[in-house]
Amino acid sequence: MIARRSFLIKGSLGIIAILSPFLVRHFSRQERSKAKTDPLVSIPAKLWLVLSAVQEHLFPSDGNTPGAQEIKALSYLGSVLEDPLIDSKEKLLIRDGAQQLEEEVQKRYGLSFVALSSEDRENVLRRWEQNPVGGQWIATILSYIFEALLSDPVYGGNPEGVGWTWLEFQAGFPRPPSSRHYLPLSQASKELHTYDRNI
Amino acid sequence: MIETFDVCVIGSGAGGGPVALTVAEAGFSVVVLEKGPWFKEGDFFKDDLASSYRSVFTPNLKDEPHVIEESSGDEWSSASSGESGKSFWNGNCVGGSSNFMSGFFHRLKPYDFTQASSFAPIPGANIVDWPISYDDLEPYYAKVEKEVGISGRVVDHPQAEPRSTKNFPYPPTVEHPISKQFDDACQALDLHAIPVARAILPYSDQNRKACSYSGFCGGYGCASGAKGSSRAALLDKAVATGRCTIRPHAKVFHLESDETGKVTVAKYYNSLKEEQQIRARIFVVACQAIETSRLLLLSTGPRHPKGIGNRFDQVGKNLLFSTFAFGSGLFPFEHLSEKEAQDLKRQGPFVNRSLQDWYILKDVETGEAKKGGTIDFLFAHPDPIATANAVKWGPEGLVWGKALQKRLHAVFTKSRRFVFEVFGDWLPNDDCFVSLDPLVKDAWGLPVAKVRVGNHPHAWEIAGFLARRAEEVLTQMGAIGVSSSVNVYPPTNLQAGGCRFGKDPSTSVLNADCRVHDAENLFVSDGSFMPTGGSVPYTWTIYANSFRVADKVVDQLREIKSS
Repeated sequence: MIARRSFLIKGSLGIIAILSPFLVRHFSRQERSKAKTDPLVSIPAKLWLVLSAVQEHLFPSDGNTPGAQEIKALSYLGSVLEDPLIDSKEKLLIRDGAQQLEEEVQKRYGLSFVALSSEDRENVLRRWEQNPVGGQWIATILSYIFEALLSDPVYGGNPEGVGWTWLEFQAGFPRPPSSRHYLPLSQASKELHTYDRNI
Repeated sequence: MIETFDVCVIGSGAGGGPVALTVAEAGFSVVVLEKGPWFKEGDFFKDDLASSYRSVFTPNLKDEPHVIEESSGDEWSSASSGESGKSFWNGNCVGGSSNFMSGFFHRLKPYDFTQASSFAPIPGANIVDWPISYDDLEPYYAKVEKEVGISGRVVDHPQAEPRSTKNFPYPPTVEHPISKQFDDACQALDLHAIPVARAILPYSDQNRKACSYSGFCGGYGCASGAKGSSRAALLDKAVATGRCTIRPHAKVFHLESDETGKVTVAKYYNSLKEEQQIRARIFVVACQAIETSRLLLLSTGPRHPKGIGNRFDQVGKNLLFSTFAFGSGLFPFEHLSEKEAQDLKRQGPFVNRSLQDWYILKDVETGEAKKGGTIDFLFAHPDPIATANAVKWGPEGLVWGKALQKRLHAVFTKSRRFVFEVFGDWLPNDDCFVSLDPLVKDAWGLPVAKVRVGNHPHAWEIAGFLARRAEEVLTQMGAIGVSSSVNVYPPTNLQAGGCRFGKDPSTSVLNADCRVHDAENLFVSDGSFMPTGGSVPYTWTIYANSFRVADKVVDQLREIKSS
């Protein structure tokens, strides 16, 4: 049983390696340590492929517009799933929505969402939008695409401000330095309780 | 041994800071118990994720939910934050939500203190006169201008309040070129453009740096210290006296009282959830309106079986928000010269304009005067993620793919959005109150605040009228796509009431000095005291009244010490 599981992961990684360096890193890391990932929300490899394909359909690349790949939307979504300040319900929605979408596609086409033509992806997602969970799921995936497009590059999306440049957006200052990510900020505050901070 | 101070202030925002500073400067010892952490300027960045999309400055809703009751036709349906994602938290850290305010500062008008006797009654609205007058509060409005640091320009206009000083202590912050365009439009419409006073320092002073004009102000912590938060403007000064102790991560859960009704001890949990206690001669509660009512209701004692100050079931009642409407219009760059477009795109300088021409209205049918409100004008909030999220909804549902990208590019690069915010009286009514939820508990096992948010339809009509007038101003300015909407749901950051002050103990919680009627050493110094809201944001009034209450606290301490 263990051997079979290990084979499946290796098999998946083979496909993933072609598609996304992030996924290779992500799964290598998951295999090394499960501790950082929310235990409730472990996403199987094939669903990462679905999520990646959905993001690219929702936010495609062309020469003038940074798409999901250029803004690192998939690895950004990976960091969302590891963020303790994001509710588990939201993480479960991301996983379960992808799962349900994939099941619908398998039923209808006998294929994975990943294997569909652009036209079929559009049709599937438009139908999925009419489902109450589906509509909420697509809106959520879009909202994290926007975070990857427009949040500060210290958070892993928007590399070198590519989203800001495209939209001629001028970021505010001071910008968050990489060493002062908001997690340490909210955690560091816990250390202050034992003494009265001097000014 | 239990630690003992002259005064224990619970909550460190605009209601707590003035008391802590005044008491410390008068030579007494004061401890400020704050539930959240103590951030300083160096901890604040223009970081949308931390400011708006993660619970960094507000509690995790799993640990600290609210239960909100909304009207669904004839019934009230309630949902906890866990189900709805909604809450009334605004800023849990030293300085409270004043760290994140925009600092649009307005005084109330003299007749805001006498609404019951100055205006015709409105059925279903529990409007009463205040037990103090504008003249009682005016010296404290003036004090806030200096202590907090208010910048602005005094102009004469029909609704101008009487002032004891000629000018603001600080000149206005730098204004955006569009302010002139606004002034011209108002002149053409025979309106009185008012330069809005701001709690922002235009130059470095009081050990605080000048505004850096980043263009990211309301909703973000201030990295320069120019914004007059309770922390930057008051508590740092209080600590410098050597007599003020700030204790972050101190969640007060019970005020213990004796058989005479006096408060003896404030019990709190530190961040390790260990129970701690503070003894003081006088206690002052300032946790923002909803949490203040909750703490009083939680604090039962031998003389207070239903909670402190709740002998006549008044605690939590007549909660106030602000009736709010919002509208906007676009200024496309394509109609402008290159220089005009560059001017319009400038980020940093403030618009700083409001209108109060309709603060008082004449009823069409009766001809009688009635309350209107204030309209503030500004650019759309700079958070780009929020802008993008608004763009994803089209008339037929979600927009994605190339169509979404085209819309995004147009919204960000082809025009600038100019907006207005309408502030009207939230009429106190029997369906807007705080109670303790019988089922939902917080992470410490304490009943959470249950908030019923009934609004009065009269207020929506007024807000709609004001929004239409504001739309006319935007149209006169040349904006396109002008529209507006009235918010029925209350704005979470504009809270007051719940412990109204008054002369009659059976219809109020506090006396005119904001001392709880039947607890002689307990004061409330946040916005909870307000029996009616007035048609402006509350912060200046909360600061001013807290300085007034602080003087009463000091008077009482001197009496105690001399006896």
